[in-house]
Amino acid sequence: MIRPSRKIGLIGYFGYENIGDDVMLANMKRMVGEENYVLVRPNESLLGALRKLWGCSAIVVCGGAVIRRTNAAYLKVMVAAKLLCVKRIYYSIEISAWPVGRLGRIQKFVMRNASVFVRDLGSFLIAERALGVGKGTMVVDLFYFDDAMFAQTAGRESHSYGRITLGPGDGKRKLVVLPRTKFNSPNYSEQMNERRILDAIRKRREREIFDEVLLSPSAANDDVGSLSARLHGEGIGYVVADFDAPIALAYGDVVITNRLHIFKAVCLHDVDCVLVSYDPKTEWPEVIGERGEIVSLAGDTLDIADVRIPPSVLAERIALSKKALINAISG
Amino acid sequence: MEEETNTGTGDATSSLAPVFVVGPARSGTTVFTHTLARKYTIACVPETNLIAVLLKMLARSKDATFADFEAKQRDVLMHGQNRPYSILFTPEMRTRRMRDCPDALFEAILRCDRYTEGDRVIEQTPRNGERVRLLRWMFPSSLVFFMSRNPVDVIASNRRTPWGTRNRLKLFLVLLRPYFELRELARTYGLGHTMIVEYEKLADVAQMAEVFGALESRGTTPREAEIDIEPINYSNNDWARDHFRKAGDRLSLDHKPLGPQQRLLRCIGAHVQLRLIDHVRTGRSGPLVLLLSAINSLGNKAFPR
Repeated sequence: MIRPSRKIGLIGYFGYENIGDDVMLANMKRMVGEENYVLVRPNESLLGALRKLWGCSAIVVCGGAVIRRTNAAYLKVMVAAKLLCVKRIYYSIEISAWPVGRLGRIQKFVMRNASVFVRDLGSFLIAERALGVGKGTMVVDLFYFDDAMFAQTAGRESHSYGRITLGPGDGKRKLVVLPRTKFNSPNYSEQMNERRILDAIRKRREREIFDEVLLSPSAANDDVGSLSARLHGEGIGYVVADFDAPIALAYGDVVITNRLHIFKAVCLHDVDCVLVSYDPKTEWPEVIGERGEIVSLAGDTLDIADVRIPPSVLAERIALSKKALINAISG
Repeated sequence: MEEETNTGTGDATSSLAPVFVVGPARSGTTVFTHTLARKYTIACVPETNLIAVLLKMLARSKDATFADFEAKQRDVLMHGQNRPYSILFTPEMRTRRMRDCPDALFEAILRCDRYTEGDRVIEQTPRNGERVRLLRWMFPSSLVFFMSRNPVDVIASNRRTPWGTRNRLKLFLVLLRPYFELRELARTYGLGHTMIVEYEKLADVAQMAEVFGALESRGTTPREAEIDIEPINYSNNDWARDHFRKAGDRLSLDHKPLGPQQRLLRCIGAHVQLRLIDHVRTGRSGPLVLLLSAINSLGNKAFPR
């Protein structure tokens, strides 16, 4: 565990049922200790950020697609950190494109002399182009650090990630659909995403028989009304789960989702899963598992065997990543 | 020379994990590589720029496959000179995306007729010294040898080459980069599987014993008898053949006695080299290293990669 002399600021979308951010926070808390961190809200005002960061030695941006062409998340907070000379650490971030215009220049300003850790080669190359050679460092997603996630399915234990529980199951064969229906990006179209999800559902139903098709929002702000209407129109029987209702997935059920971390979690536990990519950030998944498919933005279907990283390589990278983060915070 | 114990749980004896020899250009990377290739069953593939080309292709298209690489191969390996080999991929590999399994590049090299007796590839591209962190990430089990040589000798040697720049300042700036990149590697991932090899000690038994030990502990097989490594890739480069023969006896081609000014410069160079190596290993930054770090930052802006 790191014992910082002052507190560590942590910023991310915690508590929004975003598995990736929540799991990363759990790991960060374990790393820095429960008493040693300060949570900073993503939409914190400049003054609020200055107040919270006053007593911090570092601030860690906890993963995710924080830099896109039209959006650079947490910018006010990071500007505050730069003004206060607080160490800035971008950990396990994705950069799908560098922001244009003034936003891009401000982003460069705050990232200069920051520790920038990216989680995929695409982000690395973009960071290199924008910030200069040698400014980006590769790490794995902290998601993998949670010991529970490495529990093998042989034990058939249950594991929960937010409201999703993976376990032995109730004997019914379910097709669970967890779409993301809202995403602010010029590349994203709700109709196109629905069409791709429906294609995936059709293909799976052609292959096997399910006792139940369960449709559920993957986050609180998702609205599955349109998708459920289309399923109804195609004569596909389904059940809609409320967002607050826990979803139990059995080993052996099939999941169709847009969400990268749901895909990672279920693949890890040997649940067959289809990731329907909706953004470049979901096109470079780090994943462990034997069963799964990825439908890329271009429409190609890749098997998980084609993209997964060998376990020995991943284990080495996890060790490297952990070392890199500890060195960045305490160095 | 040092090597940290790696705390990873990966397979460090993978026969496909390549060996990288990096460092400032003209630091003895070729002679060191040939020294190893004479003694061990390793496929010696000098200065292919494979990593640079791979990254360039991925920057253009993240889904670039090995078929695309095969098509570009002429650009990768030719460099305007004849190369006696080409990299071929299996039909299954051709459709794989390069970003998912970059080690397949080295696997393919081992399938070339020329290298079938090698059980791993030793890739000697000095410029990879500017990317050691990425190398460590892409190939976590790989062994990296960083060649370090007296900066004065490095600059003098670069000025003697027909293809290099004669600008001493530029050469000095470019020389610093790999050292600070190696320091960044030490700061982020640590120096596991990484060794600093001093050119001036290439004839030193202790240093070479550590090098050989590191190779053998990773499953590299010594040859039954040492072989000659023909530097035929450098077809117009007689110096390489001569240099290689002298490597065991002598550490410099410069047989002329050094004048007082040259001796002084070499002393200063040796001091700079030691300070840089110490900075890489321990992070200690005296006034000299701080000055060099500032010069390095300016150099990166003035002469971007």
